[in-house]
Amino acid sequence: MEKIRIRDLSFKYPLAKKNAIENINLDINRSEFVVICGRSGCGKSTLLRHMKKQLIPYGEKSGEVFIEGTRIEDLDDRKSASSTGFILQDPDSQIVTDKVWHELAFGLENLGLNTNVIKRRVAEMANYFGIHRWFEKDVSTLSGGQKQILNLASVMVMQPDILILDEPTSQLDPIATTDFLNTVYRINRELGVTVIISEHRLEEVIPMADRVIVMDCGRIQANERPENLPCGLTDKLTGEKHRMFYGLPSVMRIFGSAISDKVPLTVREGRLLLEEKFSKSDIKSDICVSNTIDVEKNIKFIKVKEENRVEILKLRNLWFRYEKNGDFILKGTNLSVEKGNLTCILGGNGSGKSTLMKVIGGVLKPQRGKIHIEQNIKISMVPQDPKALFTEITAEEELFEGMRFMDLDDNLKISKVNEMLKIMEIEHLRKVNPYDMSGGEQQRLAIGKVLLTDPDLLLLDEPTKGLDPFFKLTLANIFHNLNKEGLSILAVSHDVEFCASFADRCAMFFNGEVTSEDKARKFFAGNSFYTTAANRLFRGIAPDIVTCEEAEKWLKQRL
Amino acid sequence: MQKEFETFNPLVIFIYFAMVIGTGVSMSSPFIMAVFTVCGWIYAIYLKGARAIKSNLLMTVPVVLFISIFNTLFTHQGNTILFYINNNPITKEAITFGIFSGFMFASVLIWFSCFNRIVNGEMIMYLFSRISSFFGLLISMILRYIPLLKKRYTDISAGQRCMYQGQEQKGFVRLKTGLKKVSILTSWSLESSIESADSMAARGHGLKGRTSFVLYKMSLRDIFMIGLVIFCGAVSIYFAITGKNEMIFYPDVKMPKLTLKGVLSGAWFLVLTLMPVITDIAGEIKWRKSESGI
Repeated sequence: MEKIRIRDLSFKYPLAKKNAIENINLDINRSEFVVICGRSGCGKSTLLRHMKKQLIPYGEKSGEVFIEGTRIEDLDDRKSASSTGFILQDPDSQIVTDKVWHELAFGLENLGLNTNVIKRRVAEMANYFGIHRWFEKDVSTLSGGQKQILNLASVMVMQPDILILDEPTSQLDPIATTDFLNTVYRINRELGVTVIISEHRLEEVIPMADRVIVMDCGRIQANERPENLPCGLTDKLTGEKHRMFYGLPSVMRIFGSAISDKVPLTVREGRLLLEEKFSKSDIKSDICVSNTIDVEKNIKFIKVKEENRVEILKLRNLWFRYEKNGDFILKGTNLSVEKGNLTCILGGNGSGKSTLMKVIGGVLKPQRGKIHIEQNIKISMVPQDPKALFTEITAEEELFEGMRFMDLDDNLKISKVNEMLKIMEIEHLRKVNPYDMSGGEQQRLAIGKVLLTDPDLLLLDEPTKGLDPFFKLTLANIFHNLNKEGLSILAVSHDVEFCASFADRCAMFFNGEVTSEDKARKFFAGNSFYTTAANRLFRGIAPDIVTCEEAEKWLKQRL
Repeated sequence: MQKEFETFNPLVIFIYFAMVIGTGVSMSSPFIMAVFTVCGWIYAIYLKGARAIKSNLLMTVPVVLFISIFNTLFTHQGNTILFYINNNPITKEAITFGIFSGFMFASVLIWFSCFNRIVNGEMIMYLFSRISSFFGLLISMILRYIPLLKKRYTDISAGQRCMYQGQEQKGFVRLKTGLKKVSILTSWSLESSIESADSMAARGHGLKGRTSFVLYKMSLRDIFMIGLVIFCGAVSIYFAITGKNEMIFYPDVKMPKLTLKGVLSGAWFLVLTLMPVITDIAGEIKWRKSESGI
C-alpha cells in the first residue's frame, strides 16, 4: 500500500478566482524521496499542506488525501501530530522557545510524555544531528543553518515516518544548504522515512531523489525518475521544451537537449559520458579554435568599453572592525565599480561580504581607508530580507511611499509608480499586501521601491536568495535594462550560475580582501572549484565554456 | 565557572535565599541583624571580589541616609527630644530606628545582588514550569522573541537608512520615521507569528495533557540541603522569638540583654548565612583531594 494517496484533489482559497491546485492525483510510496519543484506560486506549498492534518488550509476543497489508507481528516490528532513532520521556509519563525534543548523537547512535551522518555529521545536526536555541542545554547546565538537543523531535529524527535519540507533551504547559504540536504538524505536512507521536499535549487537535491514532480499552474506537469525528467518536460511531438526545463540543474539541461533518456545528473556522470563519447584527439583541436575566437572577441569588447569607462565608486584600502579590539573584517579592501555595470562579489559565508555592503551603503563607517564616490552619486541598498522595507498595505502604496522625501507632484509620482510596477512585472499585484506575496515577488517590490528613490548605484545583498530559477531570468533582464539606462549595480551573491551568466564583472572576496577581480567569463574560466557546473563539466575538454548555453551549443554541434 | 552551591537544584537556591532574606527582614533582633549585614557583605565579596565593596557601599550609604532622614523628619515618637524643626520634635529614637531599618534594607539589597549573581534565566524558567507548564512555555517564548525583535529592528533601521540616505531627518520627520520602523516591525512580526503558530500546531501544540521537560534533577543531596536550610532558619527564628531579644525603639530605645537564646539564634543564623561559602569551600577541598589522588 502507498504511504500517501491523493485522489482528484482540487483546492481554492477563499476569495480567489482560480483553484490553487487542480485535480491532483499522486501516489507516494513508503520510504520514497520525492522532490516537488515549480515556479513560486504554482501550488507546491498548498499541495504539501494538504498532506499534514494540522496545516490543511481553509477554503473549498474537493477530492481526498489518504495517509496509509486512512482519510486524513479521520486521523487521530495525537498520531497525526507525531507521524508527519513538517518543516517550513523561515528558520527563525518556526522556533518557539529560547533554548536549544527546550526546542527539541517542545513536541514531546505537547504529546505529554514524561521527563525520562523525553530526556532519552532528546539525547538520541541531539547526537544524531550533532547538536550536542550547542545543546544548552540560546537559539538566538545560532546561525541560520543551525537553526534549520534544529527545526529538523525537533520534528524528528517525535519519530515521524513522513517528513514534508516546504522550501527549507531558501533562506540558507550554499554550505548550510548542502549540510541540511545531506541530513535529510541521511534520514531517508538510514531511517527509511518518506521524504517529500519542495525546492528551487535543484542541483543538489535531484541526484538524491527517487522521483521528481514538476508542477505548473496548480497541476502536475511531469512525474518522472530524475534521469527521465528532461525527456518528460519536452513535448514528444513538437520537441518544444516546457518552461520548467530551464529550471533544471545545469548538467541535466546541457545533456537534456542532446540526448533523450538516461540523462546524467551530476558533473561526475556527465564527465564520464563526455569522455566516452569523444576521444581525446578531436577535442584538443577544438580548444585552440575556440580559444582564439574568444580572445579576438574579447579584445574588441574591451576597446568598446574602454572609451566610456567611468568609475563611479572606488574603494581604497578599507579597514573595518565591529569592536575596538576585535578582529578586522575588512583588511585593506580595494574595489571599483564602473558605471552601467552589474558587478558581483562572490565569497564564502562570513567572509564579510555583507559588512562590505553596509560600509559602502553608509550604515557602517570604516576605520581606515577611503571610499571615493563620484559627485552627486546616490547609493541605495536593498537589504537581504525585503520585509525590512515594507510599511504599507498594498504594493502600489508601498512604491508611492518610497518617494516620500522627494519633492514631486503627486500625479508625477503616480505615473512613476505605474511605470515601476510595469518594469518589475508586478502590475497584476498592485492591490496585494506585500506580506501576502511570494519571496520572489517581495524581492521585486523591494527593488522597485528602492529604485524609486532614484539611485545611481544600487547595492543588493543576495538578490537571488529564495527565487525560482525562472524568475532569476526575469530579474537578470530587469538588471540588464537598468544597466542600459546607466544604473550601476553591485551585488553580493552565492549564486555562481547567476553571476556567470549575467554579471559584467565578478570579484572574489576572501579574508577581508578582494583577491581576484575580472570580467565574469575570464573570472570563472580561471577558477577550478568556485565556478559553474558547465565549466567544471568541460574542464580539460573545452575550458572556455562557462555558461549552460555555451555548453548546450558545443554539445549540439558535435552530436 | 560553576561553584558548588550553584550546582544545587534551583528550588534549593530559591528556598535558601527566601529563608535568609525572610528571617533577616522579619526578626528585629540585633544579633540576627548583625549577622545578616556582616554575612551579606562577606558573601558579596566572596562572589564578586573586591569590587563588591564599592557596589555594597553604593547600596548602603544612600539607603541608610535616605531612610534615617526620612524617618527622623516624619516620625516624632520617642521620649528623647534632641531639637525642633518647625515646631516638630526630632527624637533620638526616630534616628536610631531609621539607621537600623536603613541597614536592614541595604542588607536586603546586598543579598538580592548575590541572588542575582547566582540565578540565571533558566533557573527562573524551571521554577515557573514547575508551577504550570503553560507559564513555563510562555516565559520561554517571551525570552525567545526579545532577541528576535531586536535583530529585526536593527535590520529595519539599516534598511531605512540605506534607502533614504542623505535626506535630512530632523524633528517631525524623524519621529515619523521612528513610527514607521515600529509599524514595519509589528507587521513583520505578526506575519511571522502565523508561521510560528503553524510550526507549533504541526508539532501537536494544543493536545491535552502537556508535560514540561526540565534539565534539573531533584536528587537526595538537594532534599537534604532543603532540610538543612529550613532547620537552621527555623531554629534561629525559634530562639529569637522565645528569647524575647527583639529591639524596642519607642518610646525608648531598649537593647535586649545578652542571653544564651539570643546568642544561639545569632549562631544558627550565622550557619545559615555562611552555608553557600562553606559548601563552596568544602567542594573546593574535595576537588583538591580528588585531583591529588589522580
